[in-house]
Amino acid sequence: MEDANQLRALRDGDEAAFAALVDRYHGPLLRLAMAYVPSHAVAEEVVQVRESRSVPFSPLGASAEDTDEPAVDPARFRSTGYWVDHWAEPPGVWDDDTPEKLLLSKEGLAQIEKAIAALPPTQRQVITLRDVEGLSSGEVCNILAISETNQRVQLHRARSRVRRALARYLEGGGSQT
Amino acid sequence: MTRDDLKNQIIDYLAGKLTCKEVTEAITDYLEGTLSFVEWVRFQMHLGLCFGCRRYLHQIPVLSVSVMIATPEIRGGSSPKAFL
Repeated sequence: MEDANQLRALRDGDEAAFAALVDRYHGPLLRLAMAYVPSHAVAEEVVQVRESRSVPFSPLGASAEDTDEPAVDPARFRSTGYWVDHWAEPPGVWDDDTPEKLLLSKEGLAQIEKAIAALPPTQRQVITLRDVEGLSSGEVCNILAISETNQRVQLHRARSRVRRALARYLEGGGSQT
Repeated sequence: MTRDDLKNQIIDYLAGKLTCKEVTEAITDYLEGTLSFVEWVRFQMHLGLCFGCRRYLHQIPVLSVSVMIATPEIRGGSSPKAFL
């Protein structure tokens, strides 16, 4: 009965009910987390992340933004005004035969090859296994013995770097696409 | 509040209050299917209103094939057509 009332309060957006829920389940959740991580401090962090995740929109973005490798050249976003961080210069259209055109261009191919070769080892392994070998994220995690989150971060960074090289080639100085 | 301010705020609200920069940084999570339901809805709302982010999203599979093409062992082997 109590559960039903609490659920109703939660659905109505009652903050006190949410706080009560957190109080009630924090302990068990923490003990569950302890089964998977080495220390209490790490478990606290795990549980914290899970609880706060529903509030701001910061899936992998937060960790990616810490690096000097943003997905997109920051100059392409507006720097001021109400629409700050929205496109100032939207991406170009890459049509489906872009890879075929790339295949015919020694220069383009060389640039992409260079970008892939310059990736840190884990990023290169992840992007190769995913995009060249066509393996699933689960398979890549097993092969490289990395966590699912880490796999995603590595894939994101690798694709971001290679994408920037390809964008420079396709939309930059050379031929317009 | 001017008419334009109001218009901006309504569009912003309808687009899930996400910036394009946030979309580009979360695109892998979106494609890997790891966004929470609420995040996914906001992402979809943004895509619905933003042609720039839709283009960005469509670039990712093109990028994947390009990575494959740029791998010398793949090129050296059978016809690249097999991979397209």
